[in-house]
Amino acid sequence: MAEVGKQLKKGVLESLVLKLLSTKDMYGYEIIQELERSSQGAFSLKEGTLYPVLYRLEDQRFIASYWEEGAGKRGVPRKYYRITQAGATGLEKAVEEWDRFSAIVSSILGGIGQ
Amino acid sequence: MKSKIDRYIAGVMEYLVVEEELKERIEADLRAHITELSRGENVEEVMERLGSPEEVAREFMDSIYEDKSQIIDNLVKERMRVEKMERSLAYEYKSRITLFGLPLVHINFRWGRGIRVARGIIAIGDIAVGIISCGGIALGGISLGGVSLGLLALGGASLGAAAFGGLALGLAAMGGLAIGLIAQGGLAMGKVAIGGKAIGEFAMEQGANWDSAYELIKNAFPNLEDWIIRTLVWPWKYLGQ
Repeated sequence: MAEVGKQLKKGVLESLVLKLLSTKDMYGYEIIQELERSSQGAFSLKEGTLYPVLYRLEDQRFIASYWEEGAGKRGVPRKYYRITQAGATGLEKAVEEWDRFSAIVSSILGGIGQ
Repeated sequence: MKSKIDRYIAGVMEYLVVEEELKERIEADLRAHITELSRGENVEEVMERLGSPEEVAREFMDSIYEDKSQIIDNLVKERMRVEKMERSLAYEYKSRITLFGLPLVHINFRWGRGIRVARGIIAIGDIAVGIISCGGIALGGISLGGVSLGLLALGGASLGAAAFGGLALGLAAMGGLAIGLIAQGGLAMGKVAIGGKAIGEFAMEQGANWDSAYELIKNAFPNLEDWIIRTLVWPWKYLGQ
């Protein structure tokens, strides 16, 4: 799948990260990998794009982070992110908004030229 | 000794223009992230894949500053910070007491860019103009500075009725290179010349001391006040053989 346009991607990133974290707690690199895998390469994120998204979500208290010492093969500390109750509610709203938004956009785009 | 990861992250931090708190957050996360990545591959390969520190910093800022007003806020803050710093690098004092319309003391100088001028009876500054002046360039009655011009001028290069310095030009000049009516120094050129190398109508190179210097000037200028001659040859008390 071709890579999604940058601006389009930015608009949905927060929702996608929340969705991933609703399945399990993850660390930064894991989120990048998981997003790339589940989007079949369409969402290939750079570190500089992901972390500010995580900061925004954390500042909104939609997610929380915690360090886990000694995780991984070499005992490297990892910073895990987990979704909060506020985040779960935010995700529900975001999904509703997206459904409405995509339905409107699809209807307009589908109607062009007809 | 700093590791390759430390140096790489320091490079990224250098290019980041964000608030300090956010910088610390990014630094910690980037460190954990790169360390995580380099578990499975060579650290150089990881860094190559991430891009140059400048590229990583740009990517971060591109994502952080989605809203243009944030960039403007930061630019304004940065400008204010620089302004404050520049102001703190300058010093000015002007005394309330004035004489002939000039402050008794005016001190005005700065470090770094820019030149400030001090004007006063006593002036100290990058450029100082006063009865007594001291500065990079000093102009006045008694002036002391890198370049000084005055009745009595002392400095790297000085020009005055009486001039003392590396290069001294004056009626009475004393210094490394002294040029004047009465010149004394390493290389002295004048009507009266006393020094290591002396060129003049009344010249003395060898064996100069207080008495011989006094005599030479007295011969050249018989009408010159005695106290002036004594003042001029005063250093020979210590230099003469």
